Amino acid sequence: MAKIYRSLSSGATLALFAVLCTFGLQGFALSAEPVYVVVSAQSTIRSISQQEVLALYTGRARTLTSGEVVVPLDQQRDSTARSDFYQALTGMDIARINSYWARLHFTGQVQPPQNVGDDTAMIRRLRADPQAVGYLTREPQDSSVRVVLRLP
Amino acid sequence: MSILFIRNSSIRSRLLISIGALFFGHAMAQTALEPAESVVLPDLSSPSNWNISGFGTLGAVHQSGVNGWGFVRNRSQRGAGSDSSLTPDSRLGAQLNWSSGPWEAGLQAVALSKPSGAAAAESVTYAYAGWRPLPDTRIRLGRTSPDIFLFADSRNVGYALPWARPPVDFYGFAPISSLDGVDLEQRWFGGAATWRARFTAGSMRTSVSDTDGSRLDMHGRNAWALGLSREEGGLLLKASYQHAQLYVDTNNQADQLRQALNAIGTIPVPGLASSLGALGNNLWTGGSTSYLALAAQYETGPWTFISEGSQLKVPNSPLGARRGYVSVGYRYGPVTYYGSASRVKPDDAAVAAPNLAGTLSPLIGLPAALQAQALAGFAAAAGDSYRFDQSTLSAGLRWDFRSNAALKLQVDRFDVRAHGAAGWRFSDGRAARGTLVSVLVDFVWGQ
Repeated sequence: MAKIYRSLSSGATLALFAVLCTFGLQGFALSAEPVYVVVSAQSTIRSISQQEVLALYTGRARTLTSGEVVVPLDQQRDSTARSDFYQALTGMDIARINSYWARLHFTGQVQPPQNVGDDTAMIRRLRADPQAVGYLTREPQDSSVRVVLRLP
Repeated sequence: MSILFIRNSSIRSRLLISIGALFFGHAMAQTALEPAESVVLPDLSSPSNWNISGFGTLGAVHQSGVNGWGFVRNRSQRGAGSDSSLTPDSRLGAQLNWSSGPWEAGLQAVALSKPSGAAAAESVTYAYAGWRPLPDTRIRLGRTSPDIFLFADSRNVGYALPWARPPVDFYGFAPISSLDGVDLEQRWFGGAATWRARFTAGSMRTSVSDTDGSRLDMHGRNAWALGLSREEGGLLLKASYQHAQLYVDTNNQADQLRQALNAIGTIPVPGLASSLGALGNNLWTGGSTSYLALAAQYETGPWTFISEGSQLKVPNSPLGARRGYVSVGYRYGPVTYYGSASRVKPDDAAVAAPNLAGTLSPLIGLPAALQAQALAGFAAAAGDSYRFDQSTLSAGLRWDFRSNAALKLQVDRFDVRAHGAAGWRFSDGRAARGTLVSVLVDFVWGQ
């Protein structure tokens, strides 16, 4: 056991670093696809600033600057849509976001946005909840939801 | 187990059990109506939500450089019993959250290596019921974590930490990880900045591990903590203050030893009373404590900088110390490389046992003088068990190989000064240098 540790602390660690760096290159594919922040057509919200969305999806705020309470919704945890959304919103990759939310969630500070599935499930949920805000990977053709911000 | 738990419980523990029973009773009733694979339970007809989640770490640490000492991550844990160990870092936690409109509740329990005989209720890291009268105002009753560190209430959640563990020189002493009482939180906004203030007040009871591995009971009362943070862009600034009356139960041994030293101090030898009085401070068993901490975290692009500094003041004790660390991390794809430097420095120099055998033997005889010398030696060793005086240089990497799991490798080079090894199990007064190598896997689920 001690020999294993010693080898890890010497040259073998460098080899592992190199392998991990190779994997790391995969994380640099930034998405240029737009993401659409949407609300229910029944909502009174007409537009939201990126700062407001950032505050909602990082747990820093539960309301818009107008004081209106909104409920942020996420797509599936491992989905490309969620990864693209947070990259466009925060500039951070999804692993960092997951770690950030783990810190908030497991300290009882704020619960993360509820995961509701894909674009279809998101639209279905937004129809039923005028307080909710979500995001879609494609511009909605459905008149039951309204785009309030386009990222980037 | 439950019988033992209840038999050992105080009113505080019964309250926690009640909150737990309330939780699990409702949770079981609701999950019976839901698909088994559904953890988050969205219910469109009722804005009530349950969430079950958990976290864990499987970690191995190996120490080389000093024979016989066991690595201790935190004095509230038992620490390693040998050079290589899984116990300091490995842990498993489960959490249950509920919210309905302005009401919320949370329960979290963590299984980790505690000193033998620690009460089961100590595994409950928080258990509260909360209410938000306004969106940015929250009141919680029950067990919560005082907001006194940057990673105050996430220290057990390895996945949420950038390192293998919080810097031991800074976090290793901290016995107060939770308070039973009230917690008030207020957020407000100034321009692009988010401000947050938290006030926590209550009492606590926990086990701390002595340097010989045995358990000491520590309790605190009239404890309160105030934390103020400001977050804007990638910059987080935080200031915290805590005050508490802390007491350690030594089964009156410290009092008896102090009385014996006072009795020896009455022997008419110049300077004897004062030197033994200073030695008596090593036998601290309780009193007023205050803790002030400042912290900053800055994230820009792939870089993360973190630093904290603190001062602990405990009058007439060897506990007072200044602590600090700086850490920098660079993220490259799913891998983050990091390095840190930390230091803990006691306020007062170690108090050595005076040469009582030589000084007193002409007056009280050699056998009695040797007994006095032994008592003084014991008091000096007791002081060493409280003194943290060490520095650490660390380097490591974190590889997020899955969306809910990370592998961490970390190497620490520690330098323990003489009479400053309170953070080590089976330590003595020697100075020591050595290396820690850690391999950990952190994971979360159900979040």
